[in-house]
Amino acid sequence: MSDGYDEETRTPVFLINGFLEAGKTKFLKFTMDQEYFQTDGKTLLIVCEEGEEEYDDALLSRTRTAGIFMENFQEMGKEQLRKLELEYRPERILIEWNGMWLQNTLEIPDEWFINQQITIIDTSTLDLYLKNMKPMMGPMLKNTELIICNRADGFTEEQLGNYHLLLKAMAPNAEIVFEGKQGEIRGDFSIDLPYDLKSDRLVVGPKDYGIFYVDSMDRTEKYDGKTVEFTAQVLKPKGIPDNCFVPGRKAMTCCEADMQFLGLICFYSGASSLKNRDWVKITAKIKNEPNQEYGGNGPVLYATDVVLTGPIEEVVQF
Amino acid sequence: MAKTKVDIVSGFLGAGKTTFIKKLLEEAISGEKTVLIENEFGEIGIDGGFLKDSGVEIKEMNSGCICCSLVGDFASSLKEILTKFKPDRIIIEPSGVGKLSDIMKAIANVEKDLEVEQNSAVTVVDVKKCRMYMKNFGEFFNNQIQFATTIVLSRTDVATQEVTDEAVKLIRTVNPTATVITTPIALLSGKKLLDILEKPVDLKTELLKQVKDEDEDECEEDEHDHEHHHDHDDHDDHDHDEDHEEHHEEHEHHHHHHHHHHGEHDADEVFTSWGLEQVPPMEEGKLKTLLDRMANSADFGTVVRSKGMIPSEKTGEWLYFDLVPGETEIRKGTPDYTGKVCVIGSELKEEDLKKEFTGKS
Repeated sequence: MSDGYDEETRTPVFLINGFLEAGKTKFLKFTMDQEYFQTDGKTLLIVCEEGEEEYDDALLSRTRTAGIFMENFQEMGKEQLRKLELEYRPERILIEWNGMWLQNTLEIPDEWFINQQITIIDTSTLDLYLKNMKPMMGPMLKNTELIICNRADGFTEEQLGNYHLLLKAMAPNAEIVFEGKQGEIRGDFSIDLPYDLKSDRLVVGPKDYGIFYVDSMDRTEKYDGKTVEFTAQVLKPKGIPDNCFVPGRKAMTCCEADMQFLGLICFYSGASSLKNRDWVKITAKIKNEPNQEYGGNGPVLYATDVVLTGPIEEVVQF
Repeated sequence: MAKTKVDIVSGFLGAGKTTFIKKLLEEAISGEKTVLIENEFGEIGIDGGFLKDSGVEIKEMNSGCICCSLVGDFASSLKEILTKFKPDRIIIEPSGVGKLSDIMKAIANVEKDLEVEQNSAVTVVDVKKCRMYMKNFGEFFNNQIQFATTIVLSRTDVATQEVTDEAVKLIRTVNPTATVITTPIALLSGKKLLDILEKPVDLKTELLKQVKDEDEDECEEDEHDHEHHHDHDDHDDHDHDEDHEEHHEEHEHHHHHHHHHHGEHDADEVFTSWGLEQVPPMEEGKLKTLLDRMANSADFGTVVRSKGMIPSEKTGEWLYFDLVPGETEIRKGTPDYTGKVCVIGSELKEEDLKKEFTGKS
């Protein structure tokens, strides 16, 4: 990096977020005591929320951890955090974030980098939070790598599948794990798709684009080799090759203020004749391939047929 | 035409807002034309079942959004609802993380142009989570408490007296004046609930008024009926006479007072008053003994009047009492919003009274 810090010298931050009472402290306490998590150096633990569960001094001292408790958001400024860095010189930092502080407002000093972000969710209250708190959940989940949904006993596979989809829509890069009293709950969390995935030809209706997008990104292997038909808007970002465009739809994953364009990479010989914002009906073959835009494998489309059509007014909702 | 009353019911997710609103709709205001504006999607679907035929209109506001400010939209929706439905009452359930003061401001703005008035602002707080939410949620939670006219503590039936006391104490640091309902709302009648929201009774004011009225009776015999009314009409004649004699002393106090204040009746400055809320349950026999001591001895100072309502040991049974020197009366009644005691007198031994009524020093 140009500022002179690189991952070799910067201090890793493990960021744990989730709403009050989700089980963040419990998760951190458990992790801190695990053998794989031990380290010789000092750990700085920054706690932004104080629920029922507490960190005991014995745990902190045997893990060489200094606990700092933040009373309010103003104490979490970049400069204050840098002072902590200078004072403690930790080898790593754990942050238990406050579920009511928007995640995108956290600014860390340049000496630090987010090594991993984990979100803890109480499955038993997830429904209520999904219905009412999506504006907070959007930023919370956006960059999260792992979502642990605890207290998931008593939910059907179908319900968990539905949660899986909704979370995936907000947390595109996350692995989602459901946990019950007996540990991880394994199962097929694919939801009832509005199209038949056994068929070679998938017809995706205007209302179903969101599900198609999330599921094909999530489980691309199941879509490999299939032909898909859907209507979308054309996006041609600067620098995109002539034989390529991005069909997609505007989606409201959390709230109106945070609209996102959910698009897929599509190769098409006639792409140069398409203009930004055109609405098109596409027939394309899906291949599970690596692509730079996906940062790994993803559903890459090869269109056989693209025709101009009228717009779909509604935004995609989950 | 009477103005449309607006009640706001706020509180964090899962606090029990829906339960409270249901109770209000089903038992307290079932005859009124009501519109319910929901900005939150609760655990118990309020639209299902009983509301269908009740004539209650339900409006959903667009998304319980914090980042997209809703205040502008809110005012226009409110206007639309008022014009279209002309309801007797509007109940608003704002988003669980919305600021109560913002909603109140929006209503105040509409009050200028339309026949509408802010009635109550209720905040429902889960008694067991009060401390934790206050500590971690900061502004929006405190705002909901600070601007509430009535605070309903939910789940007090499964919390200890200590937890409830602590929650009330915390609430009082932010809002010293709101009526705090600590009785489980399932035990309150709908009418009682509405009374609490619309015109909370202040025992102290009531007692001082009684004393004052009796003082007036002394001067104007015409108003004799008045006294009967305030003494609950249930003294026999003999008691009544005693009552008068006993009063003589007070009146001397009073008259003395008059010299300075040119006829103003302000009992407040003559007697001191002591009050207590969240009074824990007490067994009837024990209360009777305590009241008798207050009425017949100087153990607690000179008690001139006392009044209160306290839950008995039996769930749902409350003891209402009145006390004048030499006489006490306990009646059984339905639950009130919190156990309350008020004592008026001179040189009251407040610490001892507190000890007796709370069962601890």
